[in-house]
Amino acid sequence: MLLLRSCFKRGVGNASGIALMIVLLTVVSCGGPKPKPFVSFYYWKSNYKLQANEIKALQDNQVQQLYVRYFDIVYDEQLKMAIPTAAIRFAKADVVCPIVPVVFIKNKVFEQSDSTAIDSLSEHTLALLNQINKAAGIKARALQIDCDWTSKTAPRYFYFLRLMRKKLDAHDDGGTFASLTMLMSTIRLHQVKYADKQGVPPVDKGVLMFYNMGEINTSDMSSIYNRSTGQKYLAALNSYRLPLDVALPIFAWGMQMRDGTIIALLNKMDVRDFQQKDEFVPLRENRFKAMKSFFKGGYYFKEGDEVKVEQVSEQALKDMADDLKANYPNHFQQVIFYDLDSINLSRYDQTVFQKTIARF
Amino acid sequence: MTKQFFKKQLLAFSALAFISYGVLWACADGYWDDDAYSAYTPEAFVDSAYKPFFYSDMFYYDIGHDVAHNERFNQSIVAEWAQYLGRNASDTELAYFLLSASKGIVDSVNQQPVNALPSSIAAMYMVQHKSDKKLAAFFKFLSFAKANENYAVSNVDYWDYDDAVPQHKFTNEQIALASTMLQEFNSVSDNFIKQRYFFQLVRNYFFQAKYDSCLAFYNQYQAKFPQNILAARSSSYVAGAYYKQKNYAQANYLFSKVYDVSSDFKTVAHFSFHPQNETDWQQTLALCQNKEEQITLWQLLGIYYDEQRSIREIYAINPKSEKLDLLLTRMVNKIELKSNWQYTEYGAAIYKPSKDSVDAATVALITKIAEEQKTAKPYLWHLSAGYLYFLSQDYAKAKSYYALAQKNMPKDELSQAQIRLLVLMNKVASCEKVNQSFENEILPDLKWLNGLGYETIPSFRYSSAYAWMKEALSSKYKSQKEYLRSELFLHQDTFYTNAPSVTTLKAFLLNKNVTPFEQYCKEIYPISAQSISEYQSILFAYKDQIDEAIVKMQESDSLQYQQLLGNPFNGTIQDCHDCDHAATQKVKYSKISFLQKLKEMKANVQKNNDVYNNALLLGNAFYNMTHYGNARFFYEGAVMGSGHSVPDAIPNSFRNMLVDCSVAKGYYMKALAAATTDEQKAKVTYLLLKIERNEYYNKWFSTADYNSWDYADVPPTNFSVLYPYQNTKYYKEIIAECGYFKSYLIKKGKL
Repeated sequence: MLLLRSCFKRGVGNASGIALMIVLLTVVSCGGPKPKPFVSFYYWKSNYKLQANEIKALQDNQVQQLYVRYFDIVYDEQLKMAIPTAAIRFAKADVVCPIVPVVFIKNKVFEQSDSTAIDSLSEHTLALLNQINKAAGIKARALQIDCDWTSKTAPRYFYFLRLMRKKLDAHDDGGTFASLTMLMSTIRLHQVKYADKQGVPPVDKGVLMFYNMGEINTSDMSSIYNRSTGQKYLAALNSYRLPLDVALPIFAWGMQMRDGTIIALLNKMDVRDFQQKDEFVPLRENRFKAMKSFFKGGYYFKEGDEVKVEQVSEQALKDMADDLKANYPNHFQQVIFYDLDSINLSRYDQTVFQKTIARF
Repeated sequence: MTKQFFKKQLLAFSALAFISYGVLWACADGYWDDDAYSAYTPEAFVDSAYKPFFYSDMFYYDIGHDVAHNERFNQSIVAEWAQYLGRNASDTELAYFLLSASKGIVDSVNQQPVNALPSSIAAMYMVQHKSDKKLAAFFKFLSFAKANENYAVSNVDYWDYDDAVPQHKFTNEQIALASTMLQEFNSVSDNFIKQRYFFQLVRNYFFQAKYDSCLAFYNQYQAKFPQNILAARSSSYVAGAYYKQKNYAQANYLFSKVYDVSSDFKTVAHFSFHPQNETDWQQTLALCQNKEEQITLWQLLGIYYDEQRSIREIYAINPKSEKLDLLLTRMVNKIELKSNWQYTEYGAAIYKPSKDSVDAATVALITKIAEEQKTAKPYLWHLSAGYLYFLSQDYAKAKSYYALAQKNMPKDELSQAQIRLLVLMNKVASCEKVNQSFENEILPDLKWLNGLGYETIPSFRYSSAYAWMKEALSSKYKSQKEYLRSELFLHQDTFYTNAPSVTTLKAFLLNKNVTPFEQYCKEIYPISAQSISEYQSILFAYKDQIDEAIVKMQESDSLQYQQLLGNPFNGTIQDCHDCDHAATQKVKYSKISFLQKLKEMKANVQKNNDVYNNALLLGNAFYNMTHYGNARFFYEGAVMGSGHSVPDAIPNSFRNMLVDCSVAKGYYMKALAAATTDEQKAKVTYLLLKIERNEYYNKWFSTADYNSWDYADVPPTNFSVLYPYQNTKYYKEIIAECGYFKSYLIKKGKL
């Protein structure tokens, strides 16, 4: 099982991947019902230090690999170059299960970079990944790149991915990546629906991000998940020319609003934070109003400020599973929950992950 | 003044920046000049130490982000050591050792005899006298400090993990360094040197994440040292250590104290200041030992979150506090921005206050404080109250507060300019009828504004206000049906669609016998009488009234001699302006000689003299004069503008005229009628097809869903009219050059 989980199908053109494909095909073609997807998580903080309930979630769900954000890459206007930010810091002892590095690259990086800059970006990216792997004693079997590319930046992003593929295959990795490292890219819903315009990234596997379905605005509509919005994109899933895993949201946040505009995103806050009557009054579902001016959770609320909370219910996760299953007969091998965080976990019954994958 | 340090060590504060969490700010990469929406200049009234906190769309006003972490204390460090070492050191040598020299060089100076050192080093006075007691202590300390600085520098290789996460690279040597430095700290008796080891150790413990050691060491010894810049830098690390230990009350209290030390500390301390919950905020307030400390905390809260609350609190503690000034100006600038300054399509600023743009509670608060006159700068509160009433369109109240402000307004140029501008804006806004007496009243102020250049009065925000006043006056004149005055204050293309108005305007501009106010109007008007003549000439030319066009063009002074870029008589298969402009031209035509040539050709057609050629060339010329041709320059000028890359870049008032090819079409028809050979017919037939294509485009961009970023569909051109000429050379040339034609033929099975 471990082999299967760790070594997904590789792209065409990589001879050494064929043996693994055989293993994969053998398992898949054994007949009978398709196996349930594995549970996995994203870890999206800049300090890698797992809390007790986070470790428990990994154990309870037999998580075989944890997708850890290593760093972001942003375009610095003053330096006129792409630079990494918020590189992760590891506490070695906490590495309790195999880790897949994830790098988030702002689309602007590709808007601003020509091919020379992308050449150097790929070198820098791999070198930094290696440094971090080495420091934490990690040998990675996969690499995931997260980028909200557009039809305009697709050629440059794909060029970057091909370079990364080439470097990984050529073992320019200082030995911190396994010889059959799988390259993955996140895939947004619009990228699936408009695949003819936006292209399909040259990777071994995509991860469909089944969230961020709406604008962050003051309306009552959730920006995280909306079933009818999600359903509009599902029809295109089956014809997408890339095997897909799927990422589902378990995060929550609030939005602080003043004078009809959003002035802050209240990271990790959910309805439980707005229950104290002397602080907030509920206006309607997931809406609150500050009763005084005060600090809370590192944010300053001014009397009269409104708060909109967005969080995903257990039922919503089940709906997602049902809709996805119905529209993707190819079967997802893995469901990656975003993100592993003690506050997120505390919002759910701990069986939620198994219950969700059971519906696939 | 005892500060110290090295070039790259001055990082003290960037470390604190790491502590601070991400801050949400809008439009980090957006940038606009504050003058673009503001008529209220904080520089006039607020201490320049607070400049980064003036309200702005940037994180820090003027500088964007604070990136001075490495160099912030360079000068003071050199100065402190210079003072300590006295005549033993020159500033140049000190700056070299403190800011540039490597640890290797410093160690060589410590360990090698002078004559073994590189000559440039050996020649230095400080090196030659290195055995002097103070210099020896300096070099010894410097070696430790250089070794200790690696983790604190911020000129990092962004792509290096060791640099990106500095704690990650703490070596055993650096850890051992702490104990060696501690020995030095204990043994050294000179307090100046001792404080520097003290700072090094505090910083070392902080970066090693030994926060307990950091706090214990600091608390044990800090009282031994003077409260100088270095003490503040040390305590800022201590604040950071508290923060790391989640003791937010102590951390924020210390940050606020550091914030108050000098302008060098303000941005970094502000960036690090970050209360978490009401409990720690209340504890921070309780830690204050005096009212001034409380005021500083409220000011920080005000800058970050809530100016109005902070003003109330500070005012209650000490109405004379200078810390009110910044908060007041921030609040006014915020409201001002909300009051919707906008730019019209003509470049003038307008502001459209909406009822809720000026918060009533804010107005009430400022009015109350202004009325009570207890602050240190009552004029600033009167001025601000006046301006808020202006923005609320209560001009009478604005006037009365401005009058109060004027009484005590400081006499410096910027303050005086500020009140003068706001008073003028109020006059213009409140004027119900612009008559001669009003014109004369405001004329000196308008002339004053007109004479101001960029930075004539540094920082003064006036240009949008001036543009708005011109727009406002223009609109008042229009409602008084004084259309000429209205146009003079705000040029609009539509004015030029009325020929008699244009004639009147031109006469006005040429009239030398005008009043001073009219003279001012002439000076601000962007278009000259000559440009108007040129424009009138072009109108005639488009109507094929060439004689009249020549007369007007000759009135345009030197404008008539501007040369066209390509040969306007060419008629090519492809419309390629750049190719025509680059092509060799035996005759260069100016605007006037072009018109004269047209006149000559027209006469030939009339006389039946070589009608085909003359009509063809006239057709080409009139074609080239349009937006589609190679002689757009003919119509480009002060009135119709220039650089119209797409039809909708042409001002509405002129677009239809400039894209219309019907005069050209008329001449091509004449040429076709006079054509005798198939070659001639093929050519004219094709040129007429080009006009047919343009007519299609003209219809297309007039449609509602037209978007200039779209490509037009290929027009459904009826190329079949060319079939009769398939044996001509020209027909083959079209196939070679015109891809549409070629694919048309292939589709029709003709090729």
